Amino acid sequence: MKGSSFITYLLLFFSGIFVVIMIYFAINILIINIVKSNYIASKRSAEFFASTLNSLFSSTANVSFIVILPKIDAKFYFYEDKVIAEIGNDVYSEKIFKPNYINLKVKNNPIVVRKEFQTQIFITKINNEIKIE
Amino acid sequence: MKSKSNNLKLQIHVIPEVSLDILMLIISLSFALGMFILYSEYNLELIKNDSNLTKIANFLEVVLGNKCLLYEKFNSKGILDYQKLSSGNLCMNLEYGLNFYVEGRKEFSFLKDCSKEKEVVRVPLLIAKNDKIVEGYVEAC
Repeated sequence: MKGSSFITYLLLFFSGIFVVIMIYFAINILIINIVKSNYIASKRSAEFFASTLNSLFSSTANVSFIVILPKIDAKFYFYEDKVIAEIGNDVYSEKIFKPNYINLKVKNNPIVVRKEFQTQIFITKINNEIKIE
Repeated sequence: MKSKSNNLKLQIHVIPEVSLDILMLIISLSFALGMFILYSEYNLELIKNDSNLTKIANFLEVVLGNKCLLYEKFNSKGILDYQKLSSGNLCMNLEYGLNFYVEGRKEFSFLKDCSKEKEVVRVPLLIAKNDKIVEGYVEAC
């Protein structure tokens, strides 16, 4: 019986730790999904634009495509060495690696996205020139 | 005979209780461990992804399609010119170290040596050397 009660106390101890861990995880997941949702969105979008542009820099083909953005309030800045995504108060910048011979032309920098209507970004690559509008 | 039956009863009473406790302990521990693994992966994927590997891979992709390094006869991504490599003009700012290996030997090194770095991306490529295509690879760190 002594052994049994010891294991019960041990079980209680671990269940206490378990409850604390569960509360910690739940709070963290809530923080990630509610408080940091804009940060995640800005990081994802900056990474998307950076990897897309890097692929275009290294491509030898001429391509053009449209990016349909979701209905959110956001700003996207395109510079020679980085892409910055600003959603809400959260800003995330991602490096891009542009060779010297490529001209990056951006119409209306930053590109402003509004919640009210759908925004599309046209990306065109013709030889050594990339246009974003 | 009576004492034997008492012992048997005692054994039957004690063993299932202890085993149930142990089982509950194992279940709760495995549940907590499972939650921890799920949480850590969730967190890692969304927030704590500070690894440079994605940036290095992007950088390498640009290097492999760089017109200042491509072999003009094919003009195809991943086939580089030995002479252009030896000239050292990459037409871009080097953010990460680059090491080119031709036929297993390290021939060109830019910015830094990658052999001692932890985060290294290695990509195989073809190099046109004296109008012959030889195999090689590039490391970026």
